[in-house]
Amino acid sequence: MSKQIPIRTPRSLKELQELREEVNTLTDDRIEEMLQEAWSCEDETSYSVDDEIIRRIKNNIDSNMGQNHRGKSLIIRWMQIAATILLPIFMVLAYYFYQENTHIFSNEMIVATGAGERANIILPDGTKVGLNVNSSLSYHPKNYNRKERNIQFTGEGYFKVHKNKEVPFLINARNLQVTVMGTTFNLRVRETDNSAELALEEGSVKLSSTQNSRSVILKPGQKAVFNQITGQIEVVEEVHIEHYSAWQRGDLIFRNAKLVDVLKTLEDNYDIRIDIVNENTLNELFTGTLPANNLNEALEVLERSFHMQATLLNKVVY
Amino acid sequence: MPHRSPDINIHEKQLIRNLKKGSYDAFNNIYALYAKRLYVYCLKFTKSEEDAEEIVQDTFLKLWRNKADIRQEETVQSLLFIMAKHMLINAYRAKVNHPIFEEYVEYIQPSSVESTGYHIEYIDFVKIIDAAIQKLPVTQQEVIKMSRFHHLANKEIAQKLSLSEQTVKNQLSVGLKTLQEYLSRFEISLTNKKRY
Repeated sequence: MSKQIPIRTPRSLKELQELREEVNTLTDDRIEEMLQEAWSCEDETSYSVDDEIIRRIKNNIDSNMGQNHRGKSLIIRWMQIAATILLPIFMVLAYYFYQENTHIFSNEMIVATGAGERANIILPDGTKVGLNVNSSLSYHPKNYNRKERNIQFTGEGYFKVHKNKEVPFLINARNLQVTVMGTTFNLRVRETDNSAELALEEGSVKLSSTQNSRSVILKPGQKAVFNQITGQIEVVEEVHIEHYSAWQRGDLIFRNAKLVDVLKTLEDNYDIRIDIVNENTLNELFTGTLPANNLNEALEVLERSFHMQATLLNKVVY
Repeated sequence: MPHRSPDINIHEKQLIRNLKKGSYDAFNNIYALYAKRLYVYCLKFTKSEEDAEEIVQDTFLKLWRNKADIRQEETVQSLLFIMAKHMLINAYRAKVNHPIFEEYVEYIQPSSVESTGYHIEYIDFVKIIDAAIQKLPVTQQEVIKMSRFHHLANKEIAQKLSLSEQTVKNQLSVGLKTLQEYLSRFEISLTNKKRY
């Protein structure tokens, strides 16, 4: 049953919110169907349009049609020719330097961060990984990018995987494996967590359990929650998928998070210990954004929100 | 589906045939027949007239650039839709999610409409708001956009712009006042309600 496309303006903010949720979960194909339905009913006489506008559009179209042999695109042609000459040279040089530098690391490359540390890595194929605190990534340079791109991973990272359909990118993490073609996502697999989360921003990703045959293929805007204990995988649609990688951009975003979790995140992020005097507040919820690189500000926000005092003593906060 | 006379079909099939062969004349004919309809249609899904114009322009350009590959069996109506498809989907998603849309929904609520009962179209609403905001000094613009359209708290805005929270409050207050004065001419008032 196809639904009518909601062309009518929502009558209230609540209706708008519902409309947004609905539209944001619809696939492009579904929206296309509804748009096509509306187009086929389009009646010329329903609205009066200034002919001047239609004329102007036609002028723009005409001037764009004959653009192929004008001055502007000559420059682009020159640049393209230059690129085709220079690119192979750069590639040879880059390859040479790469070979020079990697013969030292014959066995395994490990990059690890501790509490309060972050790192950015570029893997040999151009894949970029941002490592959050307490994380570790390792791979074998010799084998990487031959038939597969295999890495071991624990912690939390923001992955921008270089597109390569022939050579799949495989992440081996605790009890699960992630298969990737070319995408951008945030992966959180911590030893200390009971569940792992993958939030997909772009592209396509397969997440499978190594303990059973369960697997899911995610689409952008979806988050997979992998239960380390039961091996179950749940897929959740997220409107703000980019919140999961906010740590990369210096923000820690919380939506209805328990204070105890907020404090834990702060502890890891700043490499400090937080002791709370009033235990009752630990289960209260917090929604907001805390800076990832300014502890005083972060504490200030929490102080205001929970009517507490924070004192910083030698990396321990009371 | 509106009833189509067989003559139209024959005429259009001929146009498609000629267009495929590269006839600029056929292209012009198709434009004359459908541009207005496409434009009106686009207005429903975009948040501005400029966006609608751009889609119409790009659709017909695409039609011209791909003329050799279009299928004879299609109707002009479906061909145009195929060319416009992705732009339309994106425009629709963008419109629904756009922060200013919320202001508009608030604006047209029965309780907020003035006694005349008349209210302006969304596309004009956007134009007015945009124009009004442009007139403000840069910092006030930033602060208002973040507060009203992106629903950031004053603290978050202060952090993002490296300002004190008091400055943010001041900028917001001054900016909104100026904005309100300007908008009141159009009988628009920005909402003050707390968000969900």
